[in-house]
Amino acid sequence: MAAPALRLHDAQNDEARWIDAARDGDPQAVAWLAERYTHTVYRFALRMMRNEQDAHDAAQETMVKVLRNLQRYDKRWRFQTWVLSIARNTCIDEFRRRKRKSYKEAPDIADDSPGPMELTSRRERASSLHTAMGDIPPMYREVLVLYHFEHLKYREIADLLDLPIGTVMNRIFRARKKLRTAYQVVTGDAAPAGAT
Amino acid sequence: MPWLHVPDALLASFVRGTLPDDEASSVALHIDDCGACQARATSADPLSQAFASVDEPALPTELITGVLARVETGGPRLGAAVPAAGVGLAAAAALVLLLVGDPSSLLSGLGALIRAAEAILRAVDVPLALITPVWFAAAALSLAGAAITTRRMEGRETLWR
Repeated sequence: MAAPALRLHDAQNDEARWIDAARDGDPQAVAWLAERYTHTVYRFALRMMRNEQDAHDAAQETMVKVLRNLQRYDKRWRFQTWVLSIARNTCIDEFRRRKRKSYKEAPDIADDSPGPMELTSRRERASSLHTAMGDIPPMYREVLVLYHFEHLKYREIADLLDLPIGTVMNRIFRARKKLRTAYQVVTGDAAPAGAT
Repeated sequence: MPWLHVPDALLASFVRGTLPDDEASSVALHIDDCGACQARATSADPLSQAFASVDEPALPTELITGVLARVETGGPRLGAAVPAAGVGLAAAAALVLLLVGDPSSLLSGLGALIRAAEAILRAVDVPLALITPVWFAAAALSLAGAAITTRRMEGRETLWR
């Protein structure tokens, strides 16, 4: 799908070129950005909104905003961070606008089909984590999603949330504590391995 | 910091969230740039196994095509609208200058207006004591308006940066 002039051997390193081309209105570059970032945005929205339809709508809205407003992108930011900041604001707007669904409402992502012990255990852990994430406030869920699922750095999360890095760390620590407690309640277990 | 990699005990305290803020900040900044310490911090997190167990959610197949369709058929792009508005304003300014004559005559016209206003104030003999509070009120309102506008602009910048 890439134009010959833009055929890239290493897409990550040349992302800036794709962004520049998309800013200039190159439809193939716009499509490339959509392909690359829609999944990231959908994943974030699903983990925050916990409802597939809401996540779908929020992801679409976010990507439309991103692709229509590329001129506003400040290159001092990592593009992913900028995109996620727009996704975050869109999710917050959706929460405010709809107010009809609980944050806890969640798609059933657990698969109960029988399988090897390890696979079942893995699914159970994922399912328990998913439920536990729904039991903590969105403010805490957000930093855990950004750190553990989107693999953002502390300073990137601080930039995205417009908070001092110390505040971000404190929030992550508190989030972990709350999640640990919620996880133990969900699993009906003692602390997960290694918990303190 | 006196260490190349975060010592085990310090890392454990960091993960538990028991370090003082300044020390935690320096550890966090190191972890941001050190893959080895980041991996150690992740594995020291008791929930890391659970996080690692979560699979990527599948992307709805039509989502990307829906995005592209909306981008292609949507309203005007802001990036294009701003230069267009700029050109429009410039054209309007040029038209005004053309009608007035030239920039120097426009400025002298404005000067004449100010002098006329001053003459009227002197003619009606409005006491300075009455004018001053009005000026102050007008200035305060202007400042308040400017402050509100600036805050709104900053809010939008935060949203979109």
